Amino acid sequence: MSLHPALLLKERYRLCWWVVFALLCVPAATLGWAAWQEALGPNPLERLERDTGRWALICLALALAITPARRALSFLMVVLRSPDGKRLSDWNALVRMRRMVGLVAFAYGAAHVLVYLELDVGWDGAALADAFREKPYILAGLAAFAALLPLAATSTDFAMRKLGRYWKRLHRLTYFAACAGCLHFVWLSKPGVLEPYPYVALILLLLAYRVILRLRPGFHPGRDGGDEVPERPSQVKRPESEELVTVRPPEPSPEKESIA
Amino acid sequence: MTELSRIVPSEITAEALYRGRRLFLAKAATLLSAGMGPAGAMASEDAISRYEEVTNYNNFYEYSTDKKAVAALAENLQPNPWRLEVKGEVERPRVYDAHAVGRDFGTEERIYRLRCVEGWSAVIPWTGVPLARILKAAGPTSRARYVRFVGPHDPARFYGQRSRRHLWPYVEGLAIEEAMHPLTLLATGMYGGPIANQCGAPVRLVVPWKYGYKSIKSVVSIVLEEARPESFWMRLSPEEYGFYANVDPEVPHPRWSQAREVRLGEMRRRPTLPFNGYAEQVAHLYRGLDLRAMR
Repeated sequence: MSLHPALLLKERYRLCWWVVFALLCVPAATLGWAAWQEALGPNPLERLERDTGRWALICLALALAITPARRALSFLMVVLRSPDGKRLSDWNALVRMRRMVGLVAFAYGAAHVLVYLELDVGWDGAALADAFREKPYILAGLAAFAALLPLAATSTDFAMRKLGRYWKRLHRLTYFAACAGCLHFVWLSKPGVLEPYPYVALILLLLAYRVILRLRPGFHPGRDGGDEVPERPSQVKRPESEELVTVRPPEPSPEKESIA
Repeated sequence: MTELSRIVPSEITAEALYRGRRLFLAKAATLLSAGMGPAGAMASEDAISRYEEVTNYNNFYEYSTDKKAVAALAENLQPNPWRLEVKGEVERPRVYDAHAVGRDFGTEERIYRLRCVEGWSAVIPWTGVPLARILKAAGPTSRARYVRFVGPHDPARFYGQRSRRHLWPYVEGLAIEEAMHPLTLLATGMYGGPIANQCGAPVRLVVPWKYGYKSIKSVVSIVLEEARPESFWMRLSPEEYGFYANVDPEVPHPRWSQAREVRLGEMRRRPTLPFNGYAEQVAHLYRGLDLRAMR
């Protein structure tokens, strides 16, 4: 039986959650395994720093992509005249996964910071102070991570309830973290090296989407604050299989009736 | 009577034997450091870097800005035949077959630390000709104050040269005193064999007390000049890359740690030494000069 992606997400939510989580953990597992095997390549320190930082940025971009992705998917389903997934609420499961994606981003960021402190500067206070004084990219990186800290700390249901509408305002720090993360990457790259720019472009695009929504609220019909949208109870209960249900009694022929 | 002249000819090792022994030593060192892995290598001082590391982590923008991609791309380098010109302010301009330079001038074995400006370093056994021999053979005139080194320019072969972000060819320069210094080597081989393509085959400069970008790869011409040449990196980012570019842990860089460095294959940094540990040999070149101001 083929299940529509929207229904799959809704009805097999736990499974989908675990699949996404496992996929996001693959880079960490790869890195851990390579470290264990002492196969991190010619510059193991750089590899650890680069890969953890890169995946923190990618996961952050994924978390930011969820709001526009839900909108784009429901629009796509309308265009395709798909029976399911046309409503924003059909993709609510994506919004529910965002917390996990954000926390994975935080975990990669924390690993990145720990690798830097433990292996790169070796908890040397003087070296760290020099780095802050001399290197703007370190400041940008610190700002990004500092912005993620309160977000991770308030990611529980309890914190969400307590903070109420302030929770959402607080979590707009994600935009700041993403910008600071991009700046960090650009500033640490050599002139002429284009490596950071695909990430920067992606994140700028995702932020531009928010800016457009803010400046032109009519850009989309209907409101989309990136929250779960209440589902309308479905009006039509579709039968399991129409061919089997339609066992009708034979209709009496009009001729016979007229005779009778 | 000096120590050297007391050696009788019969005591001198035949060159082939010497080479074989050197190769064995390099291989032994490679194996030794390989066996120890990152944790073990930390304790040993200046163990020779593994050949696989040195040949798979290369800054060679003529091919790519991706250090790990260079090895595969550089397979098309075609180091043979290779013209090496010596010209400019010299009495006897010369054109050499790069492969004959070692034979013509005689080679030496040198194990040098290489410190990249990006904050990593390696220890590499080179074979090469002290550059001074080649310069002296050409006879620098009194106006030869600087030496300009030029790399190849052929975008058909060097894919990275199709990029308009850089001004090709690669150019580096030394003051004549630096070029004539006995540590300055025109390398013709590494690890007992020829120079790997990605490491700058067939001849490259090695100036161990300067950041690696001064040690230009695959040299095509050596030009003696009166004016100070403007290097590839100075043109690209003059505020970051100076002409002298001596390894100096005291001069910070906005991106990389210059106080500390990580050896290839290792996880933790070690302190960077002034002049990359060659201060005793070269510091006199700069006596009385304010290197901070000149960089």
